[in-house]
Amino acid sequence: MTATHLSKIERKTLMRAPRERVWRAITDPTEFGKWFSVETAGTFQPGARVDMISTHESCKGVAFSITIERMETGRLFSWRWHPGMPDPGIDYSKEPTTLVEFRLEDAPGGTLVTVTESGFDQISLDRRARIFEENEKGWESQSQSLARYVGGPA
Amino acid sequence: MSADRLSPELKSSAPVFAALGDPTRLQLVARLSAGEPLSITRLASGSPLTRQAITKHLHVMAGAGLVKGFRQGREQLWELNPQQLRHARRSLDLISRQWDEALARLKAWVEEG
Repeated sequence: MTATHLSKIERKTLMRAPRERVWRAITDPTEFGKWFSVETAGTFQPGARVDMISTHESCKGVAFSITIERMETGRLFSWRWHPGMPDPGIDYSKEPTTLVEFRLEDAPGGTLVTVTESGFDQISLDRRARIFEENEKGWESQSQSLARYVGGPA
Repeated sequence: MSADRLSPELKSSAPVFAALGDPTRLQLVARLSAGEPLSITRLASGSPLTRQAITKHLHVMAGAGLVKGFRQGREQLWELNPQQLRHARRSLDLISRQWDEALARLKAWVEEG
């Protein structure tokens, strides 16, 4: 019980592409769908609830939605959602959400992308334990498929 | 029963319990973390709080999956739920991994043009 990181995830990745390019990839619904492995329609704008259907082999056809919070062109894109696989037994209107933020900064050679997902401390341990149990198996097969994808011809 | 009396270890883990957000509940976790299930009477001894107040805190914590209550004879006992804590921590590892993979796909997508 020592980890202070239990409430938040943060990842930084350098992408060798200009900031505008990364911005388009994360805020254009068609482009977003390509790398996030979802089908989605509609427009990304602050306040919009955007429905999505997973196209990923580990959870193909699973429907979920995100609610977009902020869009500061070229700098910040954020949304709220419910982490984990949707569970039909749960009334999500009463469940707390986590906040996902993409921050873009110029960096030597490209763009530094910082992704944070915060608010896990508001999700009950019970719910979080279930997220783990539900996903453990499915995710292994996804890792294997990703290895094939990134290892394949560019 | 103030937060100042908590061990440094417990203080550093306070964010884990941010949802609980209360030094009384942290103190209850501290008492239960020895592993032995305790009754309300034991948990209330030395505390300025009433048994009713402590029972209420325990129910909030049980709702978060942090503790569980069970009956032994006539007594209601309470214990920590360490497996929930472990699984909760591993759920974050899992979600972290999902982000690593999504970001690897984003990187490949934008770097291809």
